[in-house]
Amino acid sequence: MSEKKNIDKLFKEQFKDFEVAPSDAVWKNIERELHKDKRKRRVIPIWWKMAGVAAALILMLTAGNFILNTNSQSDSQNPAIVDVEKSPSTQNNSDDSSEILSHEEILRNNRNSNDVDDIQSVSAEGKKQDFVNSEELASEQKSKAKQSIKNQNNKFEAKDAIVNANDVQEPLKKDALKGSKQQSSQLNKNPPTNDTWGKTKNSLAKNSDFIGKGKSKKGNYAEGAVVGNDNLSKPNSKSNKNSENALIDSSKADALISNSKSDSRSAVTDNSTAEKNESINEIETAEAAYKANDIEEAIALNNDAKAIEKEEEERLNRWSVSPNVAPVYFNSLGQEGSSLDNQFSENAKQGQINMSYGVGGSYAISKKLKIRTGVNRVDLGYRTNDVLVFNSVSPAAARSGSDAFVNARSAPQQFSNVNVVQAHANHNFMSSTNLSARPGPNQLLTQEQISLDQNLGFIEVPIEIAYSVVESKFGLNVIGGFSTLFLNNNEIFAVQDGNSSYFGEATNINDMSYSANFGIGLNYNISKQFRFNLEPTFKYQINTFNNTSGDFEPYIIGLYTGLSFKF
Amino acid sequence: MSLNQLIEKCKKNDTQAQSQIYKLFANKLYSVCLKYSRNYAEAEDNLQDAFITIFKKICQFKSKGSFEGWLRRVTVNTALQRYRSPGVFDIVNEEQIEDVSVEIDDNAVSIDYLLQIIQELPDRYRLVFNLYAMDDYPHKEIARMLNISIGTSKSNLARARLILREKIETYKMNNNSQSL
Repeated sequence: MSEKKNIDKLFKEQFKDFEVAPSDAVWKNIERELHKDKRKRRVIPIWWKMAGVAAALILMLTAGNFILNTNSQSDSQNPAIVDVEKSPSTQNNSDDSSEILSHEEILRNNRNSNDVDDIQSVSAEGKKQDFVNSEELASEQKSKAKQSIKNQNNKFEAKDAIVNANDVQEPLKKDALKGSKQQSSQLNKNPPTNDTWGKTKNSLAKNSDFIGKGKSKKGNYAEGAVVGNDNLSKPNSKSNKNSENALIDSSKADALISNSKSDSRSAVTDNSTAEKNESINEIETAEAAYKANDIEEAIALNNDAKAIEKEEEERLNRWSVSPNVAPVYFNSLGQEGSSLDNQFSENAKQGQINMSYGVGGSYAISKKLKIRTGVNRVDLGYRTNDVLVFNSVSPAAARSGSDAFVNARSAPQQFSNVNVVQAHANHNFMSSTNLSARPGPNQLLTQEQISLDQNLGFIEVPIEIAYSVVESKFGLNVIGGFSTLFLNNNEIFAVQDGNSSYFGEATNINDMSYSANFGIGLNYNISKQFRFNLEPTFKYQINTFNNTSGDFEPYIIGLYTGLSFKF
Repeated sequence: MSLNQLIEKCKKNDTQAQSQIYKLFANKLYSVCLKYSRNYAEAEDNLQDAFITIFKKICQFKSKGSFEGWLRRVTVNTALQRYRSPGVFDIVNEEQIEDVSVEIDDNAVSIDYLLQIIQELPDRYRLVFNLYAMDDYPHKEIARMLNISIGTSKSNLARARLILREKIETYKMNNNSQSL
């Protein structure tokens, strides 16, 4: 018999080199699972595209609407907009070029006023100054270039200190020097070109740019000097061209500098990563020391895995169906406008509360984003008050226009946007708000104050995107999208003391129109599958009426309530 | 190709690299799964789940520790998730016993049998025994990982040891009686 041994040890030793090959099916399953994930991901972009198309449509519709509106209302704004667009186009060169332009303009003006001689003398002075300044600048810039190189080195050293790697310093210095050599070579190119006037400007522009971009703030003075020179020497039209060239050159030079800078930076990062790798190796060898941390990590990972499980559960319920019902309130943003006729623009009007009901479906693109659509029936009501109705003594006379109420045309024509039924053909309708300014017909005719109720019914097909902001037992969504509205009911009733009679139908309502929708969705999860929704939604109607008078911008506010069922 | 290169490729969801990683570590991790699972079939399920998690979460591997260590932890955690009873409903008051050190005769018992009796242990006992005896987790950690008290962890370990010893002894007795 062998010796007694701790059972823990026995097992540990036995299983020390224990390895078993799993069946091939395992890898196939893993591969399939990972592959399936890929396929799932591929589905998303299609939906994204559709969502993108929907968003683009909304944008186009709203933009189109705005453009059409602004075009008809005020054309004077357009040129202003063009100006604004042009000016910020090129930031780097715009300052200088605009300066040049302005100088050119000034010059033209000066020439017109016959001051050319003066300018020439000024330009001669400017040229002299150019020479002097360019020499000064050349020397200054050399010193500043050195400074900037030093600065760069200092910066790199600081970075090194952070990384704690002394070894990195030397290659960095080399890199910095390379960069600075490029700079200095650029600088050296300049002095020989000082011979001709145009070229001095070249060099000046270059130099000034070097100072400007070289991160040495002391360069401001030199820059100022250069600018001064530019201003003085502008009268020469050739030099103007040259200075433009100079600007281009300088931008090229900038590109070179930035390249060299980025090179040296990448070198820094390379070195630091190399360092990191070394330290990683060290850490790997000292693995045991990290065990505590690792365990924490493992626990965190555990939680992550749980999150994945949850995600997968939710992924299964991408689709949902939600019947909904809503009180909807219809009104116009502009108070002074009417869809019926011009004369009612200033009448008191009331939006009415009606019902909308329907069913919607949604598909969850991701955890946060849903795309939804549906079909809703929407009834809208809009009341125009203070309408006078009176029986014409002789409709024929009224029609002829020989009556005292010249403007009160006969019934069939007095609403530009309404087909009035025959029963009311003999009645005259007028806005009492307008009437007050006119000779009183009330003395002559029997009259009644009535209201006109416009009832509209639409079949609404919304396409919306809902983004969830809060996701827990209570959820909060932001909803945006648009609806296509198909007209299916169009009536106007004349209402008097609660009695209404069919009056006619509006002629200015498009069979198909749109609305831009924005809403906030609140929901409460009753169970995993059922959820209660409450969505106050604002819908701005686009293109519903094709001929309105005044400022009539209809909108709908609906409080959509419903239950949604996820599956 | 070095392991680090493979890991980097896996982070980019390269199927070829994933296959390589699988081939490198499947056997080791399968043995882990076998110890922590009830049987071979469930061990394969756990291995599969573990690898799926590994490839999905490989971006989170920060080259901080050894890759194999990380793989093992993921695998163990996958098994724990499956067999760890949900803490909230776990209100059965177990009678706790003292931590005991169990000695046993060290003569060859086949590893297959050892594995079998580990797998036959009740879930919690098996997890605690594996974590403590095989993978050197302290009771404090085990308690946290399994959502139990340290006392329960110790007690479970003791019971696991006793059960294992009993099974090994009966196995030997049977073998002896057969050989006699």
